[in-house]
Amino acid sequence: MSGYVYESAVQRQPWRVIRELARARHLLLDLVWKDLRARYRYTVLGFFWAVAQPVALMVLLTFIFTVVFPGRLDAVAGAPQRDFAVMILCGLVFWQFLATALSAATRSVVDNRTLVNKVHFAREVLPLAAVLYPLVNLALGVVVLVVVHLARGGEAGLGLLWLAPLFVIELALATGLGLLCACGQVYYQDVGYLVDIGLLFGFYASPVFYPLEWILNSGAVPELVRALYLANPMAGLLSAYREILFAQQVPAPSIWLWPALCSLLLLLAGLWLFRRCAPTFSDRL
Amino acid sequence: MREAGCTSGEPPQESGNGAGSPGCVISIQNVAKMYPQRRGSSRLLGRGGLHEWLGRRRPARVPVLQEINLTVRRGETLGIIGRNGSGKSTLLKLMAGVTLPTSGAVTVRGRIASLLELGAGFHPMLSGRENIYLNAGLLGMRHESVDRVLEPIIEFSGLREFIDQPVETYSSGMYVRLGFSVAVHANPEVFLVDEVLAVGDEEFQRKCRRKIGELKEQGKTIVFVSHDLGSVHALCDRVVLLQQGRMLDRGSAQATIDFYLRQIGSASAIHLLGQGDMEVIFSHGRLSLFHRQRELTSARGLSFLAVSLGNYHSSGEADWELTEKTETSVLARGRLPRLPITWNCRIALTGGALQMDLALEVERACAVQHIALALHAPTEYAHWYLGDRMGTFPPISPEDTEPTLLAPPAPGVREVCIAAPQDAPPPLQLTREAGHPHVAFQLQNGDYAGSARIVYAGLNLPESESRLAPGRFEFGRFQLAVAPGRASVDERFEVQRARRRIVSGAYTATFDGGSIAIFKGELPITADVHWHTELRAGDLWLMSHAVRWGEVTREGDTLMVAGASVRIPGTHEWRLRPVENGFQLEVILELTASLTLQEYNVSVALTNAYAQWATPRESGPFPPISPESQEWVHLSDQYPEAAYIAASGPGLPQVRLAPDPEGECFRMSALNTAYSQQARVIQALRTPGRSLVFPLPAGRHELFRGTVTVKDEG
Repeated sequence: MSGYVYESAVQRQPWRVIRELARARHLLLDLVWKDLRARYRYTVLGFFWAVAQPVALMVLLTFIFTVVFPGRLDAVAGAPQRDFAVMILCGLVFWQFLATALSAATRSVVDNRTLVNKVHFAREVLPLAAVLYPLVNLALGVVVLVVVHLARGGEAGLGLLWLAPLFVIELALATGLGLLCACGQVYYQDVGYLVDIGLLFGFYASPVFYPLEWILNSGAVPELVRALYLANPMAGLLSAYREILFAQQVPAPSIWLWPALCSLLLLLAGLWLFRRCAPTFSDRL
Repeated sequence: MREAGCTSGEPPQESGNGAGSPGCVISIQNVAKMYPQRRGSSRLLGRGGLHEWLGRRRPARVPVLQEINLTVRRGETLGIIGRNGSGKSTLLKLMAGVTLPTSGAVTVRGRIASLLELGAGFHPMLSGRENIYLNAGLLGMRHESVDRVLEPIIEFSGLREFIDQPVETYSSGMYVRLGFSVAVHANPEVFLVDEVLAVGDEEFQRKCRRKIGELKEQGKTIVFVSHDLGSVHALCDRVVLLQQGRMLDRGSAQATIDFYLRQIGSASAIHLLGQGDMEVIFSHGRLSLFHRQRELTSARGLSFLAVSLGNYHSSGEADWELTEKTETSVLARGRLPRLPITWNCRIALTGGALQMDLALEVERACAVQHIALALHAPTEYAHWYLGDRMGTFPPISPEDTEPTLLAPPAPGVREVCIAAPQDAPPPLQLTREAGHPHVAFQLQNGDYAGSARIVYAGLNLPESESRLAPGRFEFGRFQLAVAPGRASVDERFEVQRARRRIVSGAYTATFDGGSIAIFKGELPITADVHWHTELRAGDLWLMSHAVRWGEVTREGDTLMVAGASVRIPGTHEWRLRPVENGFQLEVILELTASLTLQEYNVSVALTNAYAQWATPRESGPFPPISPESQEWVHLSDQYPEAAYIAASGPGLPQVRLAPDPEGECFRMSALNTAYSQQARVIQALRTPGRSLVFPLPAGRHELFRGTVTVKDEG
């Protein structure tokens, strides 16, 4: 039965998203493939650029913290003594996924306005494709991360596989936020700028290039700020990744339970809001 | 959240049932659509301004569509017409599912391919092939099904060489070709077509029209939005009109288009003329004729065109300005966008007929090879009358991607008529009253998409004149009238033919606007320009066709006709009478002032089946006419003075042209015409002796007296 019913109430039922996405799965893969093909088409080095940025940042930040401010490293008590470069790279690789995915997803609907204005399809595929294609960058990043980790004398075992379920939480977070922001961007293009600022802010306000313990164990951080800091789901997630990488074990649920809950809520909210607004996006583009 | 989703615009319960009825592909029930008003920001603050946003002053919502109820059945072709901003595109968007109605329900059974904007969704950096998969995916196709139609898609687009290059290297035409090709091969049940036929080159447009014709034949459902009322009329089974967001359906396609045409009559480049039963709408270079509320022209109407260096410049493209508007007349001036030419048309309804004075105002000298007027009439017209020829229009089939020529140009014929069985619609008669003498009528069948009978008045400008000088160029004065009935047309054309015809044994000769056509029963002996005369005065050639001939009179057996030309101070007079096995022609020039002739001749253009020519002194074959041949070619190299020249061909009677032995001596020559004319000519030619001219004082001069006789051989 290939009938479509275009009628406000039916199209906006949140659970229809499952059926529509199942129908549009090929299209989703096509769009991801399109983004990947187009991204590095005219470059000589191709996917090298996907990992070049985090590696370059890692080198830069390691230089700053080991050469420029060497004392700062030991200044905070209680932080486990781990390889600083690997720690930074771990934070960068996973942070960069969120940053790329969220900023691409936010603009995905508006950037594809010609499509949205002309063709009927499950609109969700646009932000979803934007969230999915940085996965390739992430996969390459993780490979580089493990290689660097081993090169610096770290250990690797099956415990690393715990990265995957934890990453699912981040993926849900990126998808949920991406759907919400993409929706917002259609109505108010101010959202795109807000997201950029938010990501810049988040880069410093998440333990990307420093361990979480620096905040937790620092006496200089007021209680309120610390609570706010911990409310950021990326804080727990990035620490959990490091736990897995360095300790090869499942991190304590206290670290990842809050991010998981946040992600789930944001994902549901995103799917619901997007479904409600998507059918009439073209009126505003 | 479930409640929120369902309470807004609760649909009527039967919406699903209505759409479920078999054969119904699209059902639109009680649909209204409001758009949020979008204002571009006038200040740096952006949309609406921050304070408005904070003050919760929400912008008003603009209704675009209201109370739309429409069902489209399977296999139906529906046209949607209306002015810009009437909601056509929004309705298509609703059908395509691109947006949702504010209230009401749109139900679509089956896959839809919208040709709304071809190539939307192409990614410029991907190759043509990759984009085919992507685009087909957007239309709901799986990769495996695309594999099956990949070859036809590439084939149809004609872009095989470029298919692996990124589409950003494509021209916009190529873009559209690929997009169209993907869309038609995606095999959806419903096509939404929005003005796509207006893009791409001529050939691809034809291909598109044919493809759409095919889809229609295959029983696909097509929804067609266009400003080209001709295509809408030709393609659509049903037409609805959108007017300020509301839908009007006048029943038949014709009635809706008529209604729309009358309604837009008040806009600026549009003028409505009315007198008695006749109404004429001039709309942007297109005339539509109505008689007793019924449109006698098809939706493409009557328009004019000029051909310059192979490019068509239709009057529809021109920028029209109407002045001197009255109830029965208007002066329309239309500046062509790509030529330094302005059409100047004085259009008036007088005495129940439409009078058109057509001229070109040339600003700078420019090359124009062809000027024409084309009248598109509905296919109900089945019979045509052109001079003394008549015939019927064959049916138009989907293979007809170009107009078909039915009756070749008839120089000298001043009147053409088309009629329908039972006189519904009533016969139309187009008369050329004045203007350039070389305008020739012809009759065509239109192409499939534009199904129409075409009455065409074309002027091929000879090379010497094809560079139009600045100033006013008269194309012609035409009169379009409704004749009382087919019987009267038959009668009148027959009377005309009879009056202009004389008989000698098995042979008939018919005078028609400066030429005499000779037949043996039904078999034509002469062709193209037939038996005619030509004279050169003041270095200008004057063909007898170019003379404005008066009415034919009879005196016993003798047919007499006189005519005047602006190039000669005086009148021409011809007397044609039967002699044994032939006809005698007397050519008399009655001069009111003295005139100097450089040369004159009497020629008989025969059908190209004639193969041999002979004079008493020489003879020879008529060689095949070379396709490059643009001019007439003399075949004899001496053309001596002689008593006669004859032509013969296999199975054909011998034709002999002989001046009266008591009159002047003529040189005899045989010629081949230009390739386009395809005729053999025998000619009696008078060239001056040493004086190089023939000075003629005012008075009466007999230029020629002689016979054309026909003799059956063997």
